Amino acid sequence: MIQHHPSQNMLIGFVNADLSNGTSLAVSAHLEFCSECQKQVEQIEARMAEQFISADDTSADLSFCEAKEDMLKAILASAKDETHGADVARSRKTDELLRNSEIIVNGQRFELPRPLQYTVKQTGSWQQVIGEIWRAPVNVDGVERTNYIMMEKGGRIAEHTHTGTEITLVLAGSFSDEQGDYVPGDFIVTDGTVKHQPYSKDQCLCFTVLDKPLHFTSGMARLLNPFSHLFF
Amino acid sequence: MTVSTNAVLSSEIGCSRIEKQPTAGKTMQTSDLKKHQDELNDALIKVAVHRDEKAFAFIFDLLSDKLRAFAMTKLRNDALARELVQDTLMTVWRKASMYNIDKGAASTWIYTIARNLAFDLLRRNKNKESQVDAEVLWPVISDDVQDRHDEQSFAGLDSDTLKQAVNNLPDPQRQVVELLFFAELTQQQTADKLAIPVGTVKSRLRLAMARLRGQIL
Repeated sequence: MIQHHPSQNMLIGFVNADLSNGTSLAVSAHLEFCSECQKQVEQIEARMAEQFISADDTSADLSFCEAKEDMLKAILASAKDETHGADVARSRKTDELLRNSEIIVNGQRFELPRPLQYTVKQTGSWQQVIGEIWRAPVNVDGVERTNYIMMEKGGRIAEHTHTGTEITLVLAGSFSDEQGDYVPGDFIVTDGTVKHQPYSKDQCLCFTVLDKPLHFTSGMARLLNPFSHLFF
Repeated sequence: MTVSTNAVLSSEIGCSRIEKQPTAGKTMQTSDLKKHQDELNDALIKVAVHRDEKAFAFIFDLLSDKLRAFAMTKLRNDALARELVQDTLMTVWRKASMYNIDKGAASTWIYTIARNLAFDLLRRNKNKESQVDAEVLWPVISDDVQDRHDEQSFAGLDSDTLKQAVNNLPDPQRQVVELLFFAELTQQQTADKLAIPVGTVKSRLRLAMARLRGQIL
């Protein structure tokens, strides 16, 4: 069962389009797994719409008011040229060009939640980071780094903390750390206050959003710090 | 449908209203809000089902200034704000049939369209090749891909079992299934018959199919 969700503030930020691309994608993908958060988002949207419709609009200026007449005419006239059916067909075709429902890691296929299906064509090649850990970078024009991370059976990441904030969304399989077990749909936010050593018993595919590199904390693993950008 | 646009315009849009209108309080009364929302719902359904120009002009008049205010806070640019107002209302006019009346108020649907368009306008201004567009994050207009699977029939099932299962559906879903499968109407004909947007027919069908699958497969 999913136990880790985005905070209420993050959901509000999501609804208001205030989050970065990577974070928005992670939240949107979480909603595909979590009907509870989906419901919350719908409630927030309804609340925002109420504010929008009750807002004071007396400040509109005269030039805008005068432009409105032409605008209404243009809108009503435009629809005569474009039939609704053709419109839908076009968007469906474009949609298929942009979207890829699966991602392939080492020959294995994984079905992705809808929003992430649009990232497959922007995903770079898989590279082995260390041991059983693989990574593929995703370009989402965001300010943070977004990656797919695959932990193969028995995969383990040395104890580390985060110099920034990391969001991990579990997509398939499961992993565990000192705080517990994580299953598909779990949305985990970690920052400098969390020190952990994740491992996966079977295997685990995650989508991660990182705003700064990891920082390895224990013994020999500190030797990895110069390479921590590999995760970034 | 045949209402002349000019007649609508002269009655609904008066720029003099700006001077006349007393300064209203910042927030609207709850009863006014409810009234506005009900009127908007009715108007949007009229646009969806009958392409009703007068109903659209009502929506336009009620929302264009509010949309502009919203657009200015998001975009902080007069030309872009106008583009947003026009694009939002154009989408409402052209895509009204995609509105799902079971999911939320018309005002919520229109607000999410404006939010999505503002997001795309901002990203397009910054980076022409943005990979993440608003419909990816917040599907509002997209035709759900699941529709394609939902057209499958339940071939091979004995029809009494199926009839029984259909009878157990909530009324709005049962009506849609009966019209589509027993009366063999198209989605558009079903929407016309029930006087609801096609988007609502689709979503009710989707819910009904999920329920039927759970019951008999």
